[in-house]
Amino acid sequence: MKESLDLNKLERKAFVSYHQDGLVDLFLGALLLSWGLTMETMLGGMGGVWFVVFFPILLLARRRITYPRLGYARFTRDRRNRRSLAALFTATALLGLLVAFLWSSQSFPGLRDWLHRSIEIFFGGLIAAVLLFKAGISGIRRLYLYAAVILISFAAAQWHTVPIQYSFIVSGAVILVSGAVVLARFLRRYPVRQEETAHAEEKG
Amino acid sequence: MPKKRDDPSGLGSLEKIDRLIHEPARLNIVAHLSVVECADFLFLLRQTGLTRGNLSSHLSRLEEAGYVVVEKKFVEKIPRTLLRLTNQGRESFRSYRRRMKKVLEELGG
Repeated sequence: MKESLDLNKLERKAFVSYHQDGLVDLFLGALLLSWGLTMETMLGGMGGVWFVVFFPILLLARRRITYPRLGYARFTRDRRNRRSLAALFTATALLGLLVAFLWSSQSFPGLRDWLHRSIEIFFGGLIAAVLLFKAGISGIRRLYLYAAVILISFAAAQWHTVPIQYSFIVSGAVILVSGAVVLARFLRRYPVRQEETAHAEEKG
Repeated sequence: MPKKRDDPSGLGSLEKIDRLIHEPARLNIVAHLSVVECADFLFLLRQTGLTRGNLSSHLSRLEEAGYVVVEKKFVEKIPRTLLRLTNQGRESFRSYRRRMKKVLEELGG
């Protein structure tokens, strides 16, 4: 139906404009970069800690930067996305378990050897797949570009036998810089107008 | 014929169009509210492109009609005044879209 399509378009436009603050990019870039640097210092197992460190910062930044400029909205799309992402994370976790099993198991030597040889591609592919999925459901097009950057940097590491942490560092740095540019553009485009914020609070 | 007198234009559906929603600025507001669970004033201001005064007066009309409800809530520990389409508002918007579609079909568009 034409009108339902138009409403979808409206929803997508509002949702995408709401995510033009570059904060997710900065979060992702910082996460990959920190993970790479941590691996470089032989503390690879600490990588997950960065998520716990950066996520509250992302929420705080959104509260301080995005809401005063674009206002606050709770999207119905968020709820749908959360469901899809939960399904994706479950699938990723199951895949991770399968890989961990194959990695250490003696039962499938052929698969294990292939996995040992292609771990960079596997990692890059996994992260790129998550980003492609997120790009598809959210409509944030630059995530496609990030997926390509990640895939290329991990594939390059595989072919040139460069340690995997450099792929994290390079792709993290690229995404971080891109996020900074997006944020700068956002701040210029949507300056905080005190009277608007005050009125918003007063009137609702 | 009585039917003709009641409906001289032959576009019966047009008579049933909700004029409150049909006004372009209010349609803009209602359409935006229909795609979110709730939003604050600033969000609607940015998305609709209306002026503050315009948005405020149209929201008041929609609130009076029971289409929009204003709620004060704490969101992430910050008090916010949120606007939400009521069930009545959503239903009216749905039937508005249905009727408009019918009118356009009757017009052959």
